[in-house]
Parts: sequence; C-alpha cells; structure tokens
Amino acid sequence: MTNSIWEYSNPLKFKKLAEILIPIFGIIAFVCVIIGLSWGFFYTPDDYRQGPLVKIIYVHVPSAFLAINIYLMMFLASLIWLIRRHHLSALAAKAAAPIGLAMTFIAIVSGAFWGKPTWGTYWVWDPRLTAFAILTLFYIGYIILWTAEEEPDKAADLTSILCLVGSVFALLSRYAVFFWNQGLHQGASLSLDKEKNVADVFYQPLLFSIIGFVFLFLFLLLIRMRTEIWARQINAIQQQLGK
Amino acid sequence: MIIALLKRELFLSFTANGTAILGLGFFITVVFVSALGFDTNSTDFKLIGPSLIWITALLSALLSAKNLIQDDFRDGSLDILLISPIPLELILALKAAAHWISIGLPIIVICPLVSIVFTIPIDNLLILIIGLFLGTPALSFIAILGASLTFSLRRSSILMPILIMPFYIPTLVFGIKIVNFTENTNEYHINGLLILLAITLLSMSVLPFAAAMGVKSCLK
Repeated sequence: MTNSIWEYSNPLKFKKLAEILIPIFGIIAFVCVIIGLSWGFFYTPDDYRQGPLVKIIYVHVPSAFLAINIYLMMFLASLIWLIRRHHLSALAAKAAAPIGLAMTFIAIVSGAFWGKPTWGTYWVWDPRLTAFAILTLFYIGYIILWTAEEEPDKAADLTSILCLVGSVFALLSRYAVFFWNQGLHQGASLSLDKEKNVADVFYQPLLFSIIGFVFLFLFLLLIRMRTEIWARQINAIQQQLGK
Repeated sequence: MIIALLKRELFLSFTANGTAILGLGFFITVVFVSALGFDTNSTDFKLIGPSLIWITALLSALLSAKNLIQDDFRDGSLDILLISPIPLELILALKAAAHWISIGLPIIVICPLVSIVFTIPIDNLLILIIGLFLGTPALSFIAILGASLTFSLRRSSILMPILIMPFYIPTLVFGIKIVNFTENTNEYHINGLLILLAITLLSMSVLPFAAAMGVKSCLK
C-alpha cells in the first residue's frame, strides 16, 4: 500500500480519518478562538485613536482572511476534481462554499460596524468593500448551481468549471475596482513579504484568533463533508432497494 | 464548413428565431423607459446615458444567451454538431461570434441614435462606441459559457443571470469608467480601451474551452 495523500480520496478511509480529526480540530478551534478573543477583548489596550473599536479586528481580519482563502481552496479542489476525478474533492468544494459565504458575510457586517464610527458610514464603494461584495456574488452563483442539478457528477463538473473561470473573473473584477482609487480601507493587515501593519500588542492575539478561525473552518468542513458522504450513501442504498 | 456554420447561426438569429430584432427592440425599449426613471432635468443626466447604454447592452446579451445552446439541444442538432469534424470549442466560439454580430453589433450601430436623448458630448460618444466595440465581444463569449453551464438544467432562465452577471463586472466597470471619468487625457482613455480589449481577448481565448467542457459533461 502506498502512503500517499490520495489514499484518503477513498470516502470510507476519509470518514475514518475524519472521525479522529473532527474532535481534535474542534478542540483546537475552541481553545484558540477563546484565547484569541478573550486576550484580545480584555487584555489588550485600547487604540489611542479608535478606542475599544479596534477590537473588532479579532473577528474582522480572520473572517476576511478565510473568505478569500476558502475560495482559493475551492479553486484547488475544483481543479483536483477536474483532473483526478476524486469525488471527495468535489465534495470538499461543495461543503466549503456556504462556510465561505458565511465568512464573507461576517467580514462585511463586522466591517460595517467598524466603518460607521470610524469612517462615518456603514458602506462605501471602496475597492476592498466592493471586491468583497463581488466575492459574495461568486459564492452565491456557485452554491445555487449546486442546487440546480441533482446528478452529482454533472453538478460537480459544472460547478468546478464555474469556480475555475469565476476565480479568473473575480480576480479581474478585483483589479478593475482597484484601478481607480485606493479608497478608505487601509492596506493588508498581514502579508508574507512585507512588514506587518498591526502593532505587536494586537498582533499576538490576532494570530491566535486566525488560527482558531482556520481550525473552526476545518472542523465545519469535515462535518459537512461527512454528512454529505452519509447522504450519498443513503441515496445509493435507496436506489439499490429500487425506490 | 466553418463559414457554413457561421451562416447557419446568423440565419437562425436574424431570420428564423428573430433574436437579433428582439435584442435590438429590447435594448431600445429598456434604455428609453429607464431613462424616464431618472430626473431628466438634473445636471447629472448626461452621465447616466453611457451607464444605461452599457447596462442595457449587458442585459440584452444575457437575454438572448439562454437559447444559444438550448435550442440546438432540444431539437437534436447539438448531437449532429458534435459528430462534425469541427471541434466543439470552435463551434461554440462561432456561436459566440454570431451572437455578437446579431446582438452586439446592432447595439453599437444604434448607439449614436440613442445617445441623442442623453445629449452625450461627441468626444464621450466616440469613446463609448469604441469601448462598446472592444468590450461587447467579451459579453457574448461569457454568455456562451453561461449557456453551456445551464442549457440542460430546469430553471436555466433564472439561473443564467445569477451565474453570469458577476462575470460582466470587469467589462462593465472599465467600459463606463473610461467614458465618465473626470480625468480626460488621451493616454488615460487609450489605457482603459486597451484593458477592455485585453478582457475581450482573454474571454475569447479561454471561455470556448471552458464552455466546451461544460457541454461535454452535460451530455455524458
């Protein structure tokens, strides 16, 4: 038996692994979110200009980070489905989409509550905000296409194509709205190649909170995938019984 | 053979189905009626014209896109097209080209006439028309992708706009901004038009392949 990661594309093997990983991820997510949020909310100083408002960052940044990266993950999963035809990969993309939409929504709403006192408005047609609104549209289209087709393989094909081409156009739209102005929103809070834009006191709890959110996503993703496998098994059994 | 296929598509849209005349009628009606929805005495009314023309062009492309593949699928000619020696990608590209000739081109031709009611300045009108000329092919090619994803589904007519409208954002944004932006330098306009052209070329080169994949997986 080869020890490659593709071994787990077998749904039964994956389900066994998921049974072990779900509680572990759940605990890590719970602990990290609790540490990140309570450290952030109670043990960091207020910002000298924004006051306690700065604490929205512990929800806003992780959810925005996930909103974008879940789409990236769906892109990769769709690519794997189209190339290697692993059903699990298509399932992962399907299961991730509603979580991604929820994260986008959280990012927009928490941003609106942050924007009202600091910028004086809930919403501006700022490039970053517009890009998130556009991302929401792409998520909605993707989820709706899944519901429109019952036959799972065909639905997986169509949604994968939509996701792949959609990523190109989502990126294009992002640059289209970024083309004219920088807008009100500050630059990226975290990046790999630049110095970080967030002060140290806020940075450490923020890291915890991001790790917590990532594990929360993995936790939810595995649960949703497991449910989906169950649903397909039930479907298969019903068909065998000649329903 | 390729020319014969293009002729067939054009015959279908201009004569048999009448999609071309429907698209044009839709365009004129929607532009005039929605223009009345704005305050016609306001000083900003000039700026609304190009936006309305672009949005309506986008909607007309969307409206007629639904039947691009569905008609062929329903009457069985799609199966015959599939066994022809021409690759499916090229067939779909030709369909998109015919869609542009029957929907996009009439809109561009009628655009100067429609723009009279908005009193668009002649310089802006010129840029608007060049922008439409460079940008609308992308709309047709995106429409063929949407048609390929939805032609075999039940609720395709309502599904199409939801899936495809977000894809129109780059074209729409660049198309409108180069006409209405305050910074009226030549270099600025040329750059904007080049980006529109780039989006169109990208759509033309990538989307027929994606659409062919969609059609193939629907017929499996």
